[in-house]
Amino acid sequence: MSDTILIVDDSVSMRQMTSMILKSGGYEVLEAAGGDEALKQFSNDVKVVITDYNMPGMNGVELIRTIRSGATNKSVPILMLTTESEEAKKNEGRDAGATAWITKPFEKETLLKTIKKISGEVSF
Amino acid sequence: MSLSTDPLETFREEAKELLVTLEESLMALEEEPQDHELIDTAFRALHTIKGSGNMFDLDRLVAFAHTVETVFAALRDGSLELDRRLTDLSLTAKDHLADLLALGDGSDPEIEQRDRELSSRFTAYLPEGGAASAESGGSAEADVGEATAHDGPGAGVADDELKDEAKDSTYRVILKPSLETFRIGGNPLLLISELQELGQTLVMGFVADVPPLSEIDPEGCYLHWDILVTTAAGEDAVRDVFLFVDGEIDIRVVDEGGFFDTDINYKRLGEILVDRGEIKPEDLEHAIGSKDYLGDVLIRSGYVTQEQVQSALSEQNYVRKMRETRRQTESSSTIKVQTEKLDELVNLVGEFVSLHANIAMLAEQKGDQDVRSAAEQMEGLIRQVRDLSIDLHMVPVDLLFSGFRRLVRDLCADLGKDVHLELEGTETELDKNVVDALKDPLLHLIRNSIDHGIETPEERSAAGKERAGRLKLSAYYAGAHVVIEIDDDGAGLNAERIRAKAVDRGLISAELELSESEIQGLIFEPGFSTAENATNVSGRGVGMDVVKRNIENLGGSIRVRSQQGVGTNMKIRIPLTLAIVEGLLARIGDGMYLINLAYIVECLELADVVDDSGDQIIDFRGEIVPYLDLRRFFRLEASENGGGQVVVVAIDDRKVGLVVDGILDKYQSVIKSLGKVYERAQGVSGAIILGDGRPALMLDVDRLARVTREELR
Repeated sequence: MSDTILIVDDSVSMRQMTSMILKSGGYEVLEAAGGDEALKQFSNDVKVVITDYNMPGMNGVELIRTIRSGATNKSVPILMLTTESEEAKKNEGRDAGATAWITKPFEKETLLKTIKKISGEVSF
Repeated sequence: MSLSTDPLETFREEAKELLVTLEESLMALEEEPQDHELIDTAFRALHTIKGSGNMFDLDRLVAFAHTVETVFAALRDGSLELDRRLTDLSLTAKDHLADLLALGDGSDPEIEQRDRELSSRFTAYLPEGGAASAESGGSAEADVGEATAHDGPGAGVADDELKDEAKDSTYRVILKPSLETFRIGGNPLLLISELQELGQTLVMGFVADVPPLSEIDPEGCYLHWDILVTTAAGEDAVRDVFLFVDGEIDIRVVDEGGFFDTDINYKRLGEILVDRGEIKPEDLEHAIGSKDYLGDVLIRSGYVTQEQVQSALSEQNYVRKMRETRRQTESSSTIKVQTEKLDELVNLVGEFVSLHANIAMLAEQKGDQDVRSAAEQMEGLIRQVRDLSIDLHMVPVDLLFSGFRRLVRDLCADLGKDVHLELEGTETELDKNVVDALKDPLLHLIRNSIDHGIETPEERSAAGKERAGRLKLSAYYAGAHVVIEIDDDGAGLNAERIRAKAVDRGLISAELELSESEIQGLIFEPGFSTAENATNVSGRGVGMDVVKRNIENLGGSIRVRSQQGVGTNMKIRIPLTLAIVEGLLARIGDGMYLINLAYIVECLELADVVDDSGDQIIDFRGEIVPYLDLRRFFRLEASENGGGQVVVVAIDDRKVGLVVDGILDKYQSVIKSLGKVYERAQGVSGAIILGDGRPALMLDVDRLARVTREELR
């Protein structure tokens, strides 16, 4: 029973790259190209959401707000991806309810470690 | 778009599409230069190329996209106006991006030259002419730094620092998550357990902020924690755990763990509270004036809460304990002591034990209650000193065993054998003197085993065994004894040949019926092994009888078990220490004798258990057990009320009864050797001096048991 992670990014290559990293870490992966598509795929089975900040249509922060104010799985850990020129957006994401954030580009280990940190996979 | 399995290929495809999008919006912007949505689309296309490109280390592409993106960011926020010239330039930039994308890691002087030209033309649009706009975090190198900063311990420079001073430091973490924590997917418990992976922790929870049920927000987080963690991982590793905490977090070193920081006593309660910012120094001054216990005063005055005091006290306690442990481990390094000094100590303790026995006896005789209870207290102390001094004398049997590796190797080379030596229980501890005294007997047994026991590889193959023989030395505790076994998978003993030889040597009569194990036991008889069967390896004029004698001199015993063709097992039982023996003092005739407590099963009235048949046997709980009348054995005058008690002893589960006149007391003492004159005396193995100065003989239980069984026949 591996955990399912929802990746939301308008960039196919980023989704593909992130997905490969996560699969190597033993996770199941769902992909969405934007906020609206993400909400359609979102369910109680999703253990972690990884969302890009900058996307056409509904952006990352709007997606986080929508999830946090929704009825389903609203306390899901959400990891926001930003680029270095979006430092200021971190606070926006944090206020919207992002659990954690990492800056692109990131190392494979950084992503997996952060996911582990927020998904509850810490051994007791 | 066709999806490649290689993300880099996918990126190339994707970037091409994004460049098309960029071109389209640029064309449209020629018509509508003020259209914000079009600017936004162009910006986003550039941003995505930059962001994803970064993941694929396409540095040149990323750098150029960043420069162009910065200009578009300025267009987006209105600080710059789009004109025809910039649109043209941007279209050229789009083509250049396509070239850079195609170039990848390669190099092309023409493209690189154009890269510089175009970059400087774009930066000219920016205030101060630099690419480092207010919004930008800078170059690609800075990004890498950002990313690795999350890696925590084990990354980058911090690692080297840790190697230098991987000392345990204690940090105090004050964790006050925001009310919103649970709602945004946070979980303080995860953080705490992650922290616990770093080292020893003390977690103190505060529940005082939890409101009454009527006001509670069930999804709110009202708890906060003080956590102490002791780790060598460094402060960065601790901070790393709390990277994403929403709320207040305060991490502070409270103990550096330095060598000079050895003052066991940590800060006082008031200091800790001030340190934590929970009380003002002047309030503390005020409270200290009172005579009552400070914690109580502080709580009563409302300066701090019960929980805060509790937490500070726990911190005090924790740091103190930690420092104590550290001091212990720092000072637990060993010092070398000459064995002679230890021997002397053990000897003195032994004398001390004897002297105490004397005092106890005198106290008993005088009937003085005070002296008696003082003697009893002394006994407890002496026991501790004795155990400690014996413990000082203990060494792991490995010291003995590992020395045989070379011997086995050399013997194999000499004899053309192939033997694999296995060692087991090497951590078992024995008296250094016992270890020294065991060296020769073991050496002899190992030689025997390899010379006579284990066959040549050819013989082994023919017998269907593995070519390499196996020799196992093992040691383990058995009560007050240590058992050492020498086990080989060689040819085993040939009972018929042993028997024939024993008859030949006149050790047994040809008619005597013996069990297999009794026949095997004959190899220990004096005169059994002779120079005739000695090779230049084993033998050397030393027979198995000498081995046995040596072991018995240590208060031990040896047994052989062998199965022909399968292997031989030698089992040596040896007392943990030679220095002091605990025994039961018995009277036989006018003399006193000590029976080693380790062998004794039970003491009984002979009359209750004796068998009427006239045979020398008793009924011990339904078991037929032979007995030996020691008065008769030692040829002592029969006293009128003699022979009343039987002491049942067991050696290797075989029981015999020893009949004595009376049993007096438990007694512990240093055993003195009887000297050369008494070397051949049977049934006794040493002597002790009793408290009143009289001597007592130590019974050789092993020998007596054998005599008993022989007499039964």
